[in-house]
Amino acid sequence: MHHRPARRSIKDCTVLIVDDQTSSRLVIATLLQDIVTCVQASNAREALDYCAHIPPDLILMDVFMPEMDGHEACALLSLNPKTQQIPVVFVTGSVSDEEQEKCWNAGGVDFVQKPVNATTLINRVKSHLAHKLKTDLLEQLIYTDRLTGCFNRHYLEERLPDIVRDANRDATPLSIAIFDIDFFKQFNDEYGHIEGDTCLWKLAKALKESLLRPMDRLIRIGGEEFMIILPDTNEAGAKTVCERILVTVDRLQLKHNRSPTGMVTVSAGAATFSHDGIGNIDEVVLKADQCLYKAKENGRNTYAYISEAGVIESPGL
Amino acid sequence: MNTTLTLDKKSALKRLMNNENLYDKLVILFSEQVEDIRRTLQNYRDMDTDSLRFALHTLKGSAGEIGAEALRVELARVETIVKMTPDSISDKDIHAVEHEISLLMGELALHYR
Repeated sequence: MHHRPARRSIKDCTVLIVDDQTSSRLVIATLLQDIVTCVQASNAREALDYCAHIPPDLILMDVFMPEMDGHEACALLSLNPKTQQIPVVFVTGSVSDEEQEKCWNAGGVDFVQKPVNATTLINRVKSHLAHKLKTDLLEQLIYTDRLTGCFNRHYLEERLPDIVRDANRDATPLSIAIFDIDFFKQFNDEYGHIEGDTCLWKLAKALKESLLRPMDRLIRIGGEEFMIILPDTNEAGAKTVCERILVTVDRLQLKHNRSPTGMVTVSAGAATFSHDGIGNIDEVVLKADQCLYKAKENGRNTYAYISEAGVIESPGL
Repeated sequence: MNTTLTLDKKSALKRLMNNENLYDKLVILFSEQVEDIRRTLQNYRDMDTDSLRFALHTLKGSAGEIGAEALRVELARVETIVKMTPDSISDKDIHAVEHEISLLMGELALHYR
């Protein structure tokens, strides 16, 4: 029942080849085709756009390209939190001392000389991908709650500032929903902690599957307490998510003799952060928590949220 | 004595893990590219430094891929001149590149008769 992160291998990796020369891209793609999935970009701008949407596992970057060279592209990648973890290997015709300095200063992790030697290229790519996979796995373990497979509190502390910054930059609302399991202590007392863990696991699994967008993050923040971060979601969207949480849990029909309904239920609270609304994200989290408390006061198995008018609203009130 | 080969196909193939199919494709791409760049270089006096350097660099890369070592070396020499002292580039330099291209095209014609 404990969550095991999916283990990727080198053949599951994607390598982005960036070179303005068709022949260079052809050589590298052909040499690597049996090892990894290759995608190609013919200029730096195209590569940056690609990486912003679908970060590859490794970039093989030409240096000398028109309009924007590989060094500048690498430096820009390292400035973006979404792309700064992607290792960049320069593929360059010059390995003078000056050129080597530029590669390292730009943030590259290695370079390969042109014309490319197949054995060297393949082994360097394998080596960097193996390292990347280990780093990804380590990060996954650090940020994942082992029982439920959700993100954990460490993830929240590390990543929430970045998510807030993106929301401010894009001027989009960011909603926080907090929910916890009603009468969970009584559930553990009745059925034991192993059943309690199973309940948490089933609930988290169902809720993860109910989140419709990859950008939504489910985080276990306490024993039976969870948070959902909802980028680009306003007050109405937060309300909809709260309703979906309750419906999802209700559909599980998990028996709970010591709950008034005879089933496991949750209470939820939600608030929305926008650059012209509630002050900062900490205040929004506090408001969401207050809404959760309100839902508990209202009899549990319900939700409350901060409406666009800035007041707490709850169904039935 | 200059012993740089005009076309070192053997070394190029070795670098490419003896993939003849890939090598042949690279020769085709080179052949398609070289005529355009030849025409460009004939008007080198009208080109800005960056464009001239880019043309030389582009052909140098393709030449290296197919083992056209003598041409690659000559292009690298002229590219350095353009980078460091662009005003000193002369007809003699461009003719040297053209000479190596001609020798290479002759060799390729022999290989792919």
